[in-house]
Order: sequence, then C-alpha cells, then structure tokens
Amino acid sequence: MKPLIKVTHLFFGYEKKHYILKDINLEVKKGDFLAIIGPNGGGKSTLIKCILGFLKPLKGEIFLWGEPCERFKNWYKIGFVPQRAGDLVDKLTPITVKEFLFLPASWYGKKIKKEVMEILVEKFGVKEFLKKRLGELSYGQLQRAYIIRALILEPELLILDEPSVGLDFFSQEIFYKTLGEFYQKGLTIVLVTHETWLLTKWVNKVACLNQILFFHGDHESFCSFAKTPEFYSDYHKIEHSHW
Amino acid sequence: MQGLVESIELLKWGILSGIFLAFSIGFTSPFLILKRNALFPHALTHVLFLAIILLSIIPKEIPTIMEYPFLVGITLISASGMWFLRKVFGFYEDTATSIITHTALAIALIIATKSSQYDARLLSYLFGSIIGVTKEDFYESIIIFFLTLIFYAKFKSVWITQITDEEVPGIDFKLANFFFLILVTLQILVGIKLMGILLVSVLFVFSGSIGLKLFSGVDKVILSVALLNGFAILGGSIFSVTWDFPFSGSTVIFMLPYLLLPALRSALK
Repeated sequence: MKPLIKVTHLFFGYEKKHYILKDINLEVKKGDFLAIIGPNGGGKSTLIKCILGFLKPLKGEIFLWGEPCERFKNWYKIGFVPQRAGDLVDKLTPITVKEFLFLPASWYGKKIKKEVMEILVEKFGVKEFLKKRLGELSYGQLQRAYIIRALILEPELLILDEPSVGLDFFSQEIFYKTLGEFYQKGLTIVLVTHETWLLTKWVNKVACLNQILFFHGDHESFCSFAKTPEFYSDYHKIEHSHW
Repeated sequence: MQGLVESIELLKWGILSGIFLAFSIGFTSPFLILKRNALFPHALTHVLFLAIILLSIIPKEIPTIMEYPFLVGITLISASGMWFLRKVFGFYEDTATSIITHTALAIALIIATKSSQYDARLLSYLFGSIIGVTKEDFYESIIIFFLTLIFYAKFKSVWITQITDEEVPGIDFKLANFFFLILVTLQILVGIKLMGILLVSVLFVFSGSIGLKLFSGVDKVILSVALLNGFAILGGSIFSVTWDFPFSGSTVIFMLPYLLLPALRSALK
C-alpha cells in the first residue's frame, strides 16, 4: 500500500543556500500516529507547509497518496488544524460556528453527512454554540471548532500543528483522549508538538527535526534514542544565523 | 413639494446609481474591514484619481472602451506597488498603503495643475456630483451590481475563509483576491462620480462596521450593510435637496447616527 505521505530528499529555504530543511526523507503510512518534535526554528511547521503545498520546496519531492503534491487533487482527504488557529478571529468576526464548520463542503465540493456533524459537535461539546459567532467563543472552544472543521469531511489523514498551545493541562488531556479515539477508529494523524508527555501515551511514530531529520522511527526506538547524548546534541544544534 | 419632485427627477440617475452601488458595496465592505483593510478603498480612490487625470490628458483618439482597462490596469500596478513595499521593504500594510496613496495624489495634483484642470472639474473629482451622474453611469452601476453577485457566488467561501485562515490545503486564495481587487476598483470607479475621491470610501467603512457589530452570520451582515448603504444614499439625497448641501457630505452626515445603533440594540436588550 502506498504511503499517505512520502517526502524524498526535501530541501527548503527562504534564501538560496540557507536551508531550513535539509535532505528530509519521511513516510507516513495508514494507521500511523506520528509526532514531529524538535526545537523552535527547527523547521517543523515549514515541513508541514511544504507537505500541504503552501511552500514550494527548493529540491526534492513530496508525494500524497502516491501523487506528486503539485498534482494532488483530493485535498478533502486531509484535515488540517493550523498553528495558532483562531488568531485572526476577534469579536467582529461575524461567521457563526455552523457556517464555519460547513466551509470545507464548499472548498472541496463535498457533502457533509448530518450524522458526522452531530457526532462531532456532541463529542467536542460545541452543540450549544452552533448559532454563536466565532468571535464569541473562548480560546478552547475555538480550538475545538477548528478540529471539528478538520474532521467534518471524515478525512483519512489529520495534520495538526501545535493544536493544544494555550490549553490548560486538563483541556489538553481531554483533547488528546478524543484524538486518540479517532486514531483507534483508523484515522492517521501527524502532530507537530512540544508536549513530549504525549509521546508515551498515543503516538506510535516519532520524527525529530532540527533542520535535518535526526530521528524517524517507532516509539520504542525513540525511547532508547532519547536516552543517548546524541539526542540532546542534535536537538539543540540550530544553525540559524539569528541564533 | 413640487420642488422636491423636480429635484428628484433631476437626480434620479444619481439616486438609482447610488442605490445599486450601495448594494454592491454591501458584498465587499465587510470583508475589507475584517481583513483590516478598511483604508484600502481610500488608497484606491487616490490611485484612481491619478488614473483619471492621466486619462484626461491622453489624446482623444483613444477609444472610450479602453478607459476601463486603463483605470483597472493603473490600480493593479499600484496594488502591486503596495505588495512590493510590504514584501521587499518589509513595511507594514498601512505604511505601504499610505506611501502609494500620497505618491499617487501628489503626481495627480501636479499633472492637474500643469494641464489646466485645476478648476471646477477638479472639485467634482474630489467631492463628487450627484447631478453629474448620467443614464450611462446608472447602467454601469447595474452591470457592476450583477458582476458583484457573480463574483460573490463564485468566491464567497474563499472570501469568508480568509477571515479565519491564512492558508487552506488545495485552495488558491490568489485568484479570489485578484477578483476581489477588481471588484472593489470598479465599485470605487462608479462611486467616485457620485461621492468624490475624498468621500467614496465612506460607503465601505460606516455601514460595514455597523453591520458587523449588529448581526451574526455573513449573509445577514451583507444584507444589513447593503440596506444601511441604500438608506444613506436616499437620506443623503433628501438632505442634499432639502438644505442644498453637497450630496457626498449629506450622505456622511446621514450615516453618523448609524454609530448609535449598536448602543441602541444593547439598551433594548
């Protein structure tokens, strides 16, 4: 079976010869729960942006379901929760939560199943907010709305870029428990995170990124690798000039 | 009373054109405000002023049909200038807008004075003239209204998405933004004849901000902005005829009490 994501010899940088990502090779297979970890500025979000076609790599290729990224059409198969989701939303934002959740249907020309919508709003506890403006939600409620929207078309792959930043520990627990339930039902997940406590709970694959991919493997191998001095050395080595 | 009826007969193309324009702007102004681009129409008016002045000194042999593409072209070049200043020089959005606005205005004034247009015609560019609106201008406003409906139907979901997201996988924001810019340019172009360069952007800001305060749901906001703008055109016309005020100024004065509507709604709640 073809991997859902395959990245081969990927290089990316905003300036020539100043790479943020160097020779990245990565695969995400169906049923993976991959955590991408690494220091700030290590290129985690940049890698996600390349995979989703927001940034064009300088070298290398990205395949989604075996198709080159630039020719990939079935974007509805991917649910995405961006970093700092909701930063653009404020009190004036007039969209109701219901309008917001229906947006993917118009992006991709797909129908939203009523029962899927009902299950998601029930599970994430936003049923009573559906008619409210997005701008009236608290930060935690807003995060949940973004996650429901990412799941509304029943994607095969969910990509989340630091989704629990700003949530308290209790909310994080509930959030990841719910995410784990979707994973157990067959959803493949790629998660950019700094919350290493997660790695022992739900994740089965880990990728450590600091401009280069210095580890990519299963959870057990990562646990052994994390105890070695190389891990800390690679984790903290950042070549950005501003550091 | 008879005087009012006669005046309305004289102003009918201006009023009708204004109402269609008001409705068209209802579809774009909430998005401009939400994208923190409320000053953008103001900048475009100055750029269009330069374009109109340039057009007036171009030899008359150039066919009229080329006027619109010329005006839109100048606007696109200026919008690219703003983008260039932001991306290459790293200026803030409002700084880049301000630089382009003032440069366009300065060049336009120099050309206007050197080409003997520094007269009543310049005043009509600056402050508009409801009497000057012709039947052809009215037809243009209808065309722009229907273009607005078509563009809105086509790009609605992308325009809405940009309120909450910077990027969405597989969705191209550039095309939707390009047509949004074209639409705002055309709306301003028609609006300048009515409201003048200095005041046409009012139609994008006053009603839009009030509509966003009062209603939930994008369609409701758009409808409310269109109606508030429409009332303002009618109210402005009546003020203008009754007290012999300039139309653009009267429209702004008519809109001022709109600012009380959110407070009124809170009080009623």
